[in-house]
Amino acid sequence: MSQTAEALARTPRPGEQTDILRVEHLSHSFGGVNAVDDCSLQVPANQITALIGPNGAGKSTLINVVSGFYPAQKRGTIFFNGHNITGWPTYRRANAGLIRTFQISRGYGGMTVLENLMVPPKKQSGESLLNAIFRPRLVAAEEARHLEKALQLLDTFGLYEKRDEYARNLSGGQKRLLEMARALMADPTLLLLDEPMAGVNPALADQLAQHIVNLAKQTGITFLLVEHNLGIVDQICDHVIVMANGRALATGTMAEIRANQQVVEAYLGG
Amino acid sequence: MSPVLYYATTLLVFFFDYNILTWGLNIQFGYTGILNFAFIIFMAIGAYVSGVFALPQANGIAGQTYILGLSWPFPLTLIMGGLVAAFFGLLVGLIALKRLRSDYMAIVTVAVGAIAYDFIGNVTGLFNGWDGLGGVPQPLQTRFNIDFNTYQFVYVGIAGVVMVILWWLANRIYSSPFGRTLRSIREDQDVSEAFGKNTFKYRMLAMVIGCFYAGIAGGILIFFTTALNPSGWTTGETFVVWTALLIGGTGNNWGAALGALLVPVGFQEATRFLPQFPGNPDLIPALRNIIVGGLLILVLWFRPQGIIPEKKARFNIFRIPLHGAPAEVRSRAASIAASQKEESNVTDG
Ligand SMILES: Nc1ncnc2c1ncn2[C@@H]1O[C@H](COP(=O)(O)OP(=O)(O)OP(=O)(O)O)[C@@H](O)[C@H]1O
Ligand SMILES: [Mg+2]
Repeated sequence: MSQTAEALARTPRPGEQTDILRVEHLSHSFGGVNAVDDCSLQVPANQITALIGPNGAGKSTLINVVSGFYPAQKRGTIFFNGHNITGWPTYRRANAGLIRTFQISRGYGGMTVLENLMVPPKKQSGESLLNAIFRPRLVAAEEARHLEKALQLLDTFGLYEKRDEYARNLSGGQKRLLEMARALMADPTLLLLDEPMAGVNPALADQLAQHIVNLAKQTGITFLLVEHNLGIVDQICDHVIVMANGRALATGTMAEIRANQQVVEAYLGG
Repeated sequence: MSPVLYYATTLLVFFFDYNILTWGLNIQFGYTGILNFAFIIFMAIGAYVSGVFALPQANGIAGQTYILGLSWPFPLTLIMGGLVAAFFGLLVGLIALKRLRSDYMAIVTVAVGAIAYDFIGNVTGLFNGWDGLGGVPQPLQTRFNIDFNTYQFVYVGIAGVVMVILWWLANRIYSSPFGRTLRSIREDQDVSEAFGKNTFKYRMLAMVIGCFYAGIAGGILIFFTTALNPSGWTTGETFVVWTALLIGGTGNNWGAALGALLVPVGFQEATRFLPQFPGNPDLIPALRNIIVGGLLILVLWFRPQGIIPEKKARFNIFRIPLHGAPAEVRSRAASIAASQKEESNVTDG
């Protein structure tokens, strides 16, 4: 199939609700621990979906398997944007638009904040050795464009003043912000955020939440957000998935979830 | 030619040569984080291959046996040395870089180094075994029939030109997006993978480029000394290059050059010409190792990033001032982006 035909095939008809991510009967175990256990769920496109559940429910493991960070264990299938990506290497999933952040911030500590943001853009012509050597103008023009976007993001995330600081010298909360800003540089189709607000002060967390809403509206990025702060989930998420014991227990709006007896017992507490 | 001048020009060639070698290791370790403990093997491969491309066919008269013997002219001989070393870098990389863990990679390179050493030493038909190659014709020497003294200066020039080209290339790579991706892999390979970088491919490229540098350095060495045998590239020599890089400053080519000046040239080569203590011929080499080892410990203790540490990326090569109010900077960046886009459309489109 030609590329355009493929794209057309994936384009949803108006009014039709598509799932950008579909996980079917996925399992993942560490030795005897079934961290993800026959889990099936869907993430609707162009929406903000929350993934909530008790500690140890398997949320981070699910994100790691979906992003390819943990190799598939031959149980279950993952569809992303119409492709069966179960066997794909991590970098190929990322290039298809599936970008994730880590629950424990990971950064390029020995590079500056600004440089951290310059790594993710996809298909940089200067990443080819020959272009890097022989086509400096082409590379410079592209760099200037990425730089502009990076500065804008740093401004939004309150890191502008820190742009020339080594990433390892940021505070824990700042590292979180950097990680999210950096993920946005990759132009994600689906962004998996593992507790992006943890350790960020409440005022800034509210700003971030607002920013996520704006991004979802303006750019159509789909968000899957692991979050323990149900206030924020209530405020910004269109859709909630509750995980417990490695399985998706319930899905729906936050109001529906609160009314679900099973969920209240497993997570929300009586 | 006065002995002092001869001595100085000899050291200068060694310095240029070790610069190339240390930059190669810097591309692998300093840029990308690859632990290659067989680095000197690739220098040896480059040296021997350059040698057998330059030598005439082995006829057994001089008692040497080796492959090829093609009498090719310089600089083709040198380039072949670099390319073959790079090719072996590719093969070793396929084994050593496939897995993610860096300790695994280090062990593989140590094993490969030991195997290569014994193989080249014992397979006499390859590069004349433990006796090594000798009488390698020097570049341009025979063709222009330059006298011995002048040739010393000619060779400083040859090595200098090669060094400058490779200096330019190493820095070009460093400051490009390609180099940035290599450095991001050094910092956290998993994160780069999660941003769509095929980290195996990039690490292979760094491996191959670094081994190319080593091969060229080998060629420059053998064309200067005209001879090389395995005692000239023992495992210890790998650690001389490592020490130079760690002391000078990983990730910084100026630092690598300073390290090359201090360690191999200053301590190894210069002290080689010191008078020996009567009755104790091993004293100078032993002292040399103690001093270099002590210096390495001091640097790692007090200045782990090396004497000249890696510089922060400034982005001013793209003429974008990053000082001032965000709005102002952004509009300036935008206009530069627009103008450079036009430029690039004109020149590259
Ligand atoms: N690398 C690992 N090795 C062994 N067990 C693991 C590993 N990672 C997770 N687990 C186990 O798998 C289960 C699920 O862990 P996971 O990190 O996915 O939970 P989570 O839902 O993200 O929890 P939290 O909300 O605390 O982040 C836990 O029981 C955990 O102990
Ligand atoms: Mg988690």
